[in-house]
Amino acid sequence: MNHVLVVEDEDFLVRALKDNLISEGHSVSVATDGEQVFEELKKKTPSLILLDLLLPKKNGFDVLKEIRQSPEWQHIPVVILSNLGEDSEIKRALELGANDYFVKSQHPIQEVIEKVREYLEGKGSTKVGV
Amino acid sequence: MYVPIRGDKNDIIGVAEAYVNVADVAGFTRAIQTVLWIGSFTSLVLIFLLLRYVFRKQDAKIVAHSEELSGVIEESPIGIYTVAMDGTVETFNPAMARESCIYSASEIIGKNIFALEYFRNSGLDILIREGLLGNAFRREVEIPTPSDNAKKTYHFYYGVPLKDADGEIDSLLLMSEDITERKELESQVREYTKGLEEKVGERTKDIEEAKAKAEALLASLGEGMIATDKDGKLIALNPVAEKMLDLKSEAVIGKLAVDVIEAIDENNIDIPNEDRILNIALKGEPATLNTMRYKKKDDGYFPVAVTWTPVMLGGVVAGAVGIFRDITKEKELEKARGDLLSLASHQLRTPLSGTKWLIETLKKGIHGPLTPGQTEYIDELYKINERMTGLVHDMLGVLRLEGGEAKTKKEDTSTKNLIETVFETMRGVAESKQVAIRAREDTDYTINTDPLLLQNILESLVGNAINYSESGREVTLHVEQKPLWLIFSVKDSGIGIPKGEQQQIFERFYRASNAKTFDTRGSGLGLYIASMLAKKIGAHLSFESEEGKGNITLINIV
Repeated sequence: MNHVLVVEDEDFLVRALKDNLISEGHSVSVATDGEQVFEELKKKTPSLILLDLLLPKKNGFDVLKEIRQSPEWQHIPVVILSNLGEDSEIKRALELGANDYFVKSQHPIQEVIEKVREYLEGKGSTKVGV
Repeated sequence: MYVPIRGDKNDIIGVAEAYVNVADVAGFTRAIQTVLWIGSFTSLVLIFLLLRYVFRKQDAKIVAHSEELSGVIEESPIGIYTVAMDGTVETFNPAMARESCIYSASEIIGKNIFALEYFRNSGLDILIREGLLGNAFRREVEIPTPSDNAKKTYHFYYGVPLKDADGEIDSLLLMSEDITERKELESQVREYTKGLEEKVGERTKDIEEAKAKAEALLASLGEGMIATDKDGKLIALNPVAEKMLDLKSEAVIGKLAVDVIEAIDENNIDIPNEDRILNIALKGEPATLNTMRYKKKDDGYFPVAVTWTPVMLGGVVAGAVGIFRDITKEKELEKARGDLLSLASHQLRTPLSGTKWLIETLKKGIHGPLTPGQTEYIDELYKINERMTGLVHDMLGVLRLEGGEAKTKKEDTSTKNLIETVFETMRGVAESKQVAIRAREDTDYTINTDPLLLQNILESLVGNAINYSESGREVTLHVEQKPLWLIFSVKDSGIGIPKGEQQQIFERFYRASNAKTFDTRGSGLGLYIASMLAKKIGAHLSFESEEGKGNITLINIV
């Protein structure tokens, strides 16, 4: 069973993601702010992280930067799920080491789930899904 | 005859008596007298002859000299004449006759000069009287015009009293030179000089006025102005530039502008001298506008929009003028606008994405199957949400475009690849509407444009064509090369646009009256955005449409 860490502060989005991922047979842990991410990472290393960018306490860019600088977690694929959709924001996230970027409102949840599957099956390739 | 006899002591000691033959002495004396008389007479004759010879010689010389002198006087270009103490004209040379407009000197010699009108009218009589009293003079004399037709003349006079052997003044020598021509020339030169001075004065005034105007203009210019010579050395800074850069003109004039005005690019990286737009302008390149950061002395860098324009004189670069504006406020506004857009899009999209994903999850049946009625409702909710998402997307797009944020690129783009990409993106929508999309031919052209913006425009137009076509219809995309343009045309056989409304179709929130009855999903922003994007890439959108017969949307692109 693959473990996915969902980093999202909006309950309804957590709910939708969690339901879909679990129905796909993955286990899911959730962090609702930027600091909680590292507590969850310490508890259990996930196979993939779905990361929102606007988060309480520590924003997603800083979280991503920290993950990419950490020897323990830097290898974990990180897919950004955010409603920030400016070119500059996408560029910044990719430069910081994000593997993919989805603007949530523009993609059906099924596309996200399929992308997660690709990564977990080792087929994921960096492509910006905006 | 008695002769005293003197002793040893010279005292008279006696008297001796002597006797002389008087006849003999008298004869001798007469002989001597005759000799002396003849000798004297001869000497006198000789002396007379000698003197006569000498005087004759002298006379001849004097006569020769006198003749020579007379000749000189006669021939002299200067008027010369003499006047006796009583005013009688003794001599009068031809030059003087000419000057005085007298036919011949003989007319005037012997006449009294004080009686002659010519001398009285000119005031010369007074001068001559003075001269005869022993006062030599040199004076410019204005001779009044003798008749209405003649012009007045000017003469320069020398008056020299002449003295006789006793040192008494017996006449006056007068010499006169006609200086009318010289006076006229002098007068002309004076006039010319005066005119010149006036002109110089006027020109100086003009220049001063222009300078004052230019200075006032530069001083009131809200933007910084810098001027350099052809070597890039500063020759002028206006007060705004001085203030913005915290520099004093007198301290920096003559220095290289690139040294005085430090600049970094927007990423805070030093700009090499050869890339400074001033140096590009000095090579004669046309004006370039750039944004960068200038250094304010001791106060860090601030953002500026700068234009440097070469100053061309006779086809040669004579210098350059830079105009710059502090864009700190614009940059702050730009950032605030960007932040607001980013936040607004995020905040609006988040609930929409939540609704979307929850409905999708619900439809998947993860929480159990839905009844047909529930599915129908859920589908409607989903459509409403999608419409809302599209509206937000479009509105944010408009805000972004109106803010001028989207920057255009220039890339060689294959029209064939572009059309394929558009079709790939639109295939889903077309299939769901059961509308066929196809390209009319395979020809490939290369166009230098922003491929993403052109793709957006084409997607918007093709999407529109699909949306307003009934199922079973066809939308075609056609590219045609014209001498000046490349024309993309999107043709549908949809509902068309009523003729009276075609002008408004690219306006914001405008929806054709028949579109509202046909489809309710449009935001009224699609074509407005497409036309804005077209402007950004220098393209022009137009319509050929007739209600009920479909549309041809044309994109003309250079």
